[in-house]
Amino acid sequence: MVSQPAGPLPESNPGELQVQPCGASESDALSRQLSSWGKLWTGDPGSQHSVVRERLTAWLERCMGRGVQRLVTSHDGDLTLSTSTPLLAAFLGRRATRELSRQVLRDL
Amino acid sequence: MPRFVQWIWRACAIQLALGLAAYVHFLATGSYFYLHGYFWIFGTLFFLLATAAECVLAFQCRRGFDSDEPMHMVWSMIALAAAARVVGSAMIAAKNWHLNWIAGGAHGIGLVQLEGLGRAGAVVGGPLSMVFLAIGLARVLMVQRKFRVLGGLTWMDKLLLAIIGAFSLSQIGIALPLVQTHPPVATMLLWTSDPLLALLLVEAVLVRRTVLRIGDGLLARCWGMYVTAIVATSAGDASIWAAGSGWLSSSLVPLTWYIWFLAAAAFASAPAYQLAAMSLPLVREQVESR
Repeated sequence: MVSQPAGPLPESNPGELQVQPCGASESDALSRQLSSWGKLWTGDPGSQHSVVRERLTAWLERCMGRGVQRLVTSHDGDLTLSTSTPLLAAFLGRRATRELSRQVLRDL
Repeated sequence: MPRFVQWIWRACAIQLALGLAAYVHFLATGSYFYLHGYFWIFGTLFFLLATAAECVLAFQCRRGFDSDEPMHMVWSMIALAAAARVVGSAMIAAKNWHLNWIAGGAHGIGLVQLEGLGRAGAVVGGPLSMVFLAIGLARVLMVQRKFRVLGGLTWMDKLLLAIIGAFSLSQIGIALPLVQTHPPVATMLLWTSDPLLALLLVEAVLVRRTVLRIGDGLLARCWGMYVTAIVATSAGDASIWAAGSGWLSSSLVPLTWYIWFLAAAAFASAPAYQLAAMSLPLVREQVESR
């Protein structure tokens, strides 16, 4: 779920990450991108989801094994990032899974 | 197959080819000269290099996980098991190569100490290493069970487990009365090898089920290599028992010594597969960014 920023940003303390306020158009673009990634994460039907599914299948087969795909499919039999990431993170580690997710979501 | 795994098995194949030549010479002449020289130099060197490679790779795998991840503990235990095998191999090599300066003495006293070093090496590289590996594999099975990756047992698996259990109990039954004769501590510790190996075999059977379930990926091959290594170690252990019981002829006994090279190569290949799986996303990113 993606929410719009509500109200002004809090003042930052010295040493903390400096957050630059962005314009409304940039905020909308970021919101759309996050919403798109959210849909890809849960596997909402769409053309891009099929790309994610194909890439995930290839990575799962290469890294773990061909049979693992049926273990990580959701209740409706679909393969998504949300169902496969916990297993990949457990056996490959968070860092490798983060890189793998970047590869899966590349150009999307 | 990852490049490092290819190197390991090529080195193992060369090692076995050299060993075969020495064995053929032994069969033809009846002389142990080349066979003894082969195991003394090439055999010991192979064990040292294979266990060192396994240790480095296992610690690399450990570095790939954060400390709060369950597999961090698994690879810590496996890395410790590998480190114990390196230390054990080095101690046995020091004994075989008569490195008196390592034992801290020379002449008669040094040789007595070298014998002790060899026994200590057998304990460190044997039961101690097995304890670490057994803890690591038990944790793997728990993680696999949590993620429902663990496969169910067939009746054949259950039969095999029952045989392993019965064999272990019989070994404990033989060893227990001998404790009253107050044998050396190293000897008593070495008696734990068989029950520990039985425990590892039980774990290997369970891991094998998972491997069959998930297929033929890099991680499946990693755990498959541990199964191969444990089965090869058990076969080597059984061959020592068979040779000691006079079940094998003197010409066949040297042939069984080669099993340990397969076990060492399989132990070294396992973390290499895990490391290949973990670095695959990074490697592909580097390749595609060129």
